[in-house]
Amino acid sequence: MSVPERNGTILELSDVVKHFGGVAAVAGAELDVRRGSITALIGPNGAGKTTLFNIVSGFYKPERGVISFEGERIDRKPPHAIAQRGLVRTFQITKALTKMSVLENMMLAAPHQPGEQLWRLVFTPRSARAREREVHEKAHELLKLVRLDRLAGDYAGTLSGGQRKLLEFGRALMRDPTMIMLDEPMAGVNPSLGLELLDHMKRLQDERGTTFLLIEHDMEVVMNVSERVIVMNEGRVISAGPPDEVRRDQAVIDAYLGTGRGAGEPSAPAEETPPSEGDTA
Amino acid sequence: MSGLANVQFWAFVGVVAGIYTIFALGLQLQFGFTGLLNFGHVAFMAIGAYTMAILVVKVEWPLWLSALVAIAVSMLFGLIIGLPTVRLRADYLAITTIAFGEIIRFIAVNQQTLTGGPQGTINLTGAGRASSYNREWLDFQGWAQDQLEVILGDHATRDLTMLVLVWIVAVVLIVLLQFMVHSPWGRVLRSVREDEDATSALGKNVFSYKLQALAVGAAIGAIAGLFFAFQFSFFSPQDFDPLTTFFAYVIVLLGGTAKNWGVPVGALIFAFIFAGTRFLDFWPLSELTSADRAFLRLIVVGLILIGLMAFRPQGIFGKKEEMVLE
Ligand SMILES: Nc1ncnc2c1ncn2[C@@H]1O[C@H](COP(=O)(O)OP(=O)(O)OP(=O)(O)O)[C@@H](O)[C@H]1O
Ligand SMILES: [Mg+2]
Repeated sequence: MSVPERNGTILELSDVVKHFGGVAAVAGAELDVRRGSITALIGPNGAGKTTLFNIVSGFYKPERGVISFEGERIDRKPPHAIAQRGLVRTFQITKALTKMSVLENMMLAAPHQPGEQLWRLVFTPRSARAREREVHEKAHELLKLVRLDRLAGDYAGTLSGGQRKLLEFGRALMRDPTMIMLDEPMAGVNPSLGLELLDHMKRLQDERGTTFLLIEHDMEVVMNVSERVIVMNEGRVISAGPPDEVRRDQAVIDAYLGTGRGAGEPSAPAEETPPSEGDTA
Repeated sequence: MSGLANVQFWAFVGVVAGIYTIFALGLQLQFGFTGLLNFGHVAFMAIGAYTMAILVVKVEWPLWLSALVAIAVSMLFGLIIGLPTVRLRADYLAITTIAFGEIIRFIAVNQQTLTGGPQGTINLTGAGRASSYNREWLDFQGWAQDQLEVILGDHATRDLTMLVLVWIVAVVLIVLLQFMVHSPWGRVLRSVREDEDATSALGKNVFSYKLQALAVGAAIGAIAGLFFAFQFSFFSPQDFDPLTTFFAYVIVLLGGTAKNWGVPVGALIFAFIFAGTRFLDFWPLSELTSADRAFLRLIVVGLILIGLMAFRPQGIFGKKEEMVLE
């Protein structure tokens, strides 16, 4: 696979609006993500980050606004079509397929399995089986990466919270996506493994030009890994730029202080952030 | 108690169990594997039986063609009922399918010229031709009986032949479904049951898979309807009341949700209880009239269901550990 051009915009949102009753969860958000970048999306609790993910991935229809991915509008597309285009997301509140094995969770995610169509299953069973072998191998590789290989045969429902985060991450990688949106992938994951996952992300970025957009509360992670940071507050993007600039942006400091968190100092908000068991998905 | 030793009688029970096995297999795919709450499954059985009979009698098509078309029509109805509903929450599908089952039955009652009305197929083409739709089947069954006689001699009765035929089809369907649910296709179905959002986030078209499950389940339901029509050589709308769907759920739950081999076991137990209550003719039950005793079986089925939920909620073949996963 040739490494795509690293400049230019892969994902672009303009004037995206979404209300829940009277609450404007996303109130005219504008942002763009550069191709091949690792970009962090931060903001206080309730800023609208997860809602924005839900809109981009097709789970919520925006009331207004345009979203384009690789130059094509996706704002009226269903979630599966968006995933098939190579834009994959994970969930803040994990969604393990509990009564299926960890391995099956992974294998399900694989794209281009002809055996998922009944007529091909009947008429070209061999290509389905051949693909199944590839998928199986890839699933094992990725399970090793996220340290779940020993649990491959267990029900996903027996995994711990952190392990489910890892499964979510591995499952998304199974799709060989062009861009991944990760909703707090490190929450509840032990820090040293978290670092390894970050390394892997960087490797994918280097080797394949994969784009990452990750929501993350841990400022240390944000400052270390991302080349760009987008800050949301009350449904709007209030700042965007390199980590160092954003950290000094008065609007960002105010936003965090406004909700009782200090973000002016790089170390301040990180440790206090509770694990991600929030009230919204 | 002489009935207990009657081979003919038990062959009949076995046939009924076989038909119910096929019927419940369709539900197993829809409900057990895909998580679709179809409460109108009986409609597919009715559509299968009626379409076949009407095509044979009124259009004078050959039996096998009519049977195939009947299966196709049932699948089409599966799609029609699914299209507006499966995008909605699960309970909407449940409500719609209940209504669908009843609508099909009411049509069978009221469209007398088409269906024969409340008296059923007796009326399909007028007096004296009650089971005329079945002629070709009986020829085939006669041929099959001749083949069986080679092996079994005099034991190869009509009922026993039917028993063999129904169970051949049932076992073939079980093996086929077992293959399907463990294929990549079936993996998507099971994933839809577990979490629709996760499934669509991973690039699978949940809507399409639900429709496929409905259609394939409808086809299997229609096959059960065909055998029902073949076995009884006469049927009427009241054979397709909502209770029939409920029985299929009992069978699926008895055997174990999402366990294909649980279905025949559940169906056999169910048929045994259903037929067996007629032997409850000892005192004090003998004080009841036989019609009252017939209702006993519903009570027994209810009690078994309660017992199952209390002591083995996963069913006979189900895995206990699956029940507690979240
Ligand atoms: N499904 C929903 N129904 C009603 N309100 C919602 C829903 N989802 C989100 N909201 C509201 O929208 C706002 C933004 O929520 P969102 O989950 O997007 O925040 P977030 O930035 O992801 O926060 P966190 O960092 O805590 O995960 C909140 O006020 C939330 O209460
Ligand atoms: Mg969130």
